[in-house]
Amino acid sequence: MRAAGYVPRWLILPAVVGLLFLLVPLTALLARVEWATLVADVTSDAALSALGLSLATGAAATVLCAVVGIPLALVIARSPARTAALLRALVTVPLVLPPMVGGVALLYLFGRTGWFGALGLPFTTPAVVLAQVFVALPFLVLAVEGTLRSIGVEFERAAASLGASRATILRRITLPLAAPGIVAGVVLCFARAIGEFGATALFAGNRPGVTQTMPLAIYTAFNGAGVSQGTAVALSLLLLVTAVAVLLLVRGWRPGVGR
Amino acid sequence: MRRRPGRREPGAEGEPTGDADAPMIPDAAALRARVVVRRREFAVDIALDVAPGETVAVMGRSGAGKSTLLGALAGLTPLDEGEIVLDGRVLDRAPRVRTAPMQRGIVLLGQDARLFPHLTARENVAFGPRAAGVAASLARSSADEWLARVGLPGAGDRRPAQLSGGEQQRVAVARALAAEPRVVLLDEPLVALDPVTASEIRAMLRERLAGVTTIAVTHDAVDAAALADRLLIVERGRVSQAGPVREVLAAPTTAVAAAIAGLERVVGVARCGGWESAGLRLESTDAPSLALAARDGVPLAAVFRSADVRLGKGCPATVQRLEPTPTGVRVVTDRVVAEVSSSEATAIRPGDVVLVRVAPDRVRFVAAS
Repeated sequence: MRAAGYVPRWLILPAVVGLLFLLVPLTALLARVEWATLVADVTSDAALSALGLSLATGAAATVLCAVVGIPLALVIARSPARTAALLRALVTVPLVLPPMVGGVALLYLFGRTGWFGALGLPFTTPAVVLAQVFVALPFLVLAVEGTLRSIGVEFERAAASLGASRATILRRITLPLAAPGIVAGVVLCFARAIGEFGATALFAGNRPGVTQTMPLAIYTAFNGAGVSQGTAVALSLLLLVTAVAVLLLVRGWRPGVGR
Repeated sequence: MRRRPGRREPGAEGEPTGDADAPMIPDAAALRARVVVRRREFAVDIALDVAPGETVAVMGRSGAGKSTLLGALAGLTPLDEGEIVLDGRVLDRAPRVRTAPMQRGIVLLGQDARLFPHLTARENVAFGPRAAGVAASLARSSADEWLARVGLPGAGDRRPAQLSGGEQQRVAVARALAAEPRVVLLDEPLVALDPVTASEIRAMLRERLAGVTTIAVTHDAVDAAALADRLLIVERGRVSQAGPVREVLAAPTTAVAAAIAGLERVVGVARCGGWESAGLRLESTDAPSLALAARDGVPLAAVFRSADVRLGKGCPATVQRLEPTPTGVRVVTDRVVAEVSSSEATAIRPGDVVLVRVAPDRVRFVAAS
């Protein structure tokens, strides 16, 4: 049996174009790295504090997304078809909105005159996390929901007929079977969170050490008066390497599903 | 006369505790149900009364309502009317009382084994006991015993994907029985298997389900005869015939039941102590059949096996077509179908007129509706 199936061979051409389109810009970025100042740039206090903030807020946002996103995915996947379609559409809205708009919306909700103005959230580190959750949650929900739906309810029925409680079924059947989708969703969610710029900039601002995450630091360095673009390039490289490392770490952790 | 080891004490949920010293499975349950589920084309309305440890087979054409019945008993389909009572405890009573599938003690074994793909065979079998709170080590060792009992000793570490279809079905049987169900529902568990494997697993099921209250839906009269004490024929949601398996299969009263039993069924009328239909006359030596044929003019169906139809003497019939079978030829005439050996059929062509007869000791009459 051919593992490759019988896809038309000429599809390799657009496939290669797509791959190059993703990789060549990164090569151009590498070409502009000023190796002489690289170490100093990436180990500067500003760079390390931005990186630390990005990782911490990204991780917090991912945890929050998982805590509310997996239940939301379960609700959508087990809803009747029409309800599920409606809920999916609602979840998709933040995906199609420019993140800026999300930032504005969060600002109106949590701003001084907003409904939750008393919390004093804007321009704080928690605001960064909220902005990231807003833009990253749909990725997690859609990935997990798709997996849950394709698994179906037959295994859950079998478990129920064997006498397992709903909690046991969730813990021992549903979540383990959905693990590939959950891992994919968490990876997408984290990647989107640490890359978040627009909503963060508007809702949380750009305060070094408090709300200046890597994307904001890169933007500041790139546009900053008198600062060489080498810093921006070095920071970009740092973010790239970190993101790839996190991806590899998560991919390395694979529960033994469907072997 | 086996006792299953590692059994929990029944009575945890307040159900009556059986006689602990009984030699048979102590908690075999009596199931009494009237299941009414309205569907688009017709309503399924089936009454069941299954004695503790008894196996009842349910047969019928696809879409007759057999799976709806099992779904209702398993708690997956709500009743529109009726009730389901297990050992005196009302599980469901339309429209209000419903018991969740996990609290019924009724386990469904389908044609797809539905083993949990992320768990080993041992963990699959141990799933029910673990869910019921049995300690992990005890559940695992009991699972190994169950795997041995279903003919898969030492297979505990294998994953479902590493098992053949027959092996998966064996694990599914072990998993179902290890959960100590009060009632087992079988939904054609052998249909996806090759004949040799199906036969092996049929024998294993027969052994393992002895003393377990079981409802078995099947398309195969062999399954019914091997596994069941009683047989229900279901047509368009209703029971059309019920009784001991062999009696139903020997004297099917409807066309569907005759087809299930693999018998020829020809409708005619009683005439002079026999059965006649447009020139074809059959007689019977069976006492109940003779009683039915005693009154002239009563609508009557004659049932017999095609293989008992003899050519060469008797009533004329026109050959319509010949169908080769693994063991000979089916001669399809305008009156009956005769199964004969290949050598007997060599000279027969479609359009020929042949003489057909069936020995009276091979014929039964049933009331034709």
